[in-house]
Amino acid sequence: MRSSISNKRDLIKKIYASLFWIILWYLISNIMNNKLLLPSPIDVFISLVNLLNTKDIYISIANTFIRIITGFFLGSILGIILSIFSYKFIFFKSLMEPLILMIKATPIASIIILALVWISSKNLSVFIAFLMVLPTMYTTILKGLDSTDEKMLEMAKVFKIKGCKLIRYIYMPSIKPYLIAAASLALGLSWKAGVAAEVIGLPSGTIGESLYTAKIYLNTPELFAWTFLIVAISFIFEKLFIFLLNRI
Amino acid sequence: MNIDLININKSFDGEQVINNFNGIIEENKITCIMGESGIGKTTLINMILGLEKPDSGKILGLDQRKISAVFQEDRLCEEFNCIQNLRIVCDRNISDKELTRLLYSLELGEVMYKKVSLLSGGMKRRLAIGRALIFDADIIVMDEPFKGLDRELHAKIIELVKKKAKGKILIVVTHSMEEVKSLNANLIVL
Repeated sequence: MRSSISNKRDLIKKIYASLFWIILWYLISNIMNNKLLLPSPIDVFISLVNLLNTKDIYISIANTFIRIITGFFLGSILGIILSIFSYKFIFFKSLMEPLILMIKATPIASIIILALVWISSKNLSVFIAFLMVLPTMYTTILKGLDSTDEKMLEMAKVFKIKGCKLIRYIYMPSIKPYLIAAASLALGLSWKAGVAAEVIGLPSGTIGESLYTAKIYLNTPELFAWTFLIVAISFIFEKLFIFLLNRI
Repeated sequence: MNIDLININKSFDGEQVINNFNGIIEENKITCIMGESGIGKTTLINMILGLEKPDSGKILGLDQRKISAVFQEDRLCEEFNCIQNLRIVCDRNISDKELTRLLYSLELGEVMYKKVSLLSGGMKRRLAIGRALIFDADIIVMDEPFKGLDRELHAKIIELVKKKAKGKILIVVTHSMEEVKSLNANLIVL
């Protein structure tokens, strides 16, 4: 009961905070009175409705979504597998360390340009999303594995708990909070980097291409509308994915 | 087969914890291990459990034998309920009815579907005892298993442990002479 009241209060606070920023945005855009530089929230809303009334938008969203999510899942799976190997074998962990550090430290723009030399622009966002997710998943899951209670592992050894039971009852409870944090961070990163890769690589029928086209035609309201859509899709998918993870 | 502890030595960071210890733990009997705090009781049972290795000496009679344990801490899976905590260690052929019966005999029937993290200290201890008893073991090792149980339950749980441990080796670390008598056990003093 108390928690539900506090949740309602939080929601009301968030709504008021959002309204504050939207009103401020509206006022500034009114003062500037230049749609090209800063369109008003109403212009962006109209642009968004117009976009949603076209068929192409759904194709663009589907194309980008499939690529980024493919990259996300590939990166997650490989990140988890590599973290398990690093947890088991110290040598492997030392081997992985410079590679992971290098991926983390390299500017995303350099990776995108380099990747364009190796692979087609069509698959660029899959690769970039993959590369963003891999080190995040690897580092976080490895932390989760390292934090597994030694005493619980001893208990598992004595009772000969192995395989799926060992994962479900001993490892999962300590990995789960890390997995949720990693998934949340990695999803945000993969959307940001994936769309950036599409803007540079310009594969046809994608969100990145549409963003670029809006920029070329100086259609700032549409640029804002696309940005809003990217944030909304990323947010909804992240919430849905975390909800499913919590049910494991 | 008896468990023979022969010339066991163990030290941690240069400090000798167990010094040339010899002892026999008899088959089909209950053996209590007593001694002052820090004298190496837990180290000794950890060696029997295979969690520590002696620096020198031998432990005979453990080969191919299954061991279950109640640790000094409960070491339960806190996110799961009582039934699940028992299921972790038992074969599929053990029915839910059997698990339920055990939980009722441990006075845990009313909370069997409750998350372990929500149970009291005494309840957790009884569940840890239940887990050790349901595991198909030849040797049961218990480190101060009855600590924290109230008087009424104390006697009941000791009787249950005696009944379930029949035909097995039961090793109990305790500080209580009363428990040694109730268990009708052999005694090793460290």
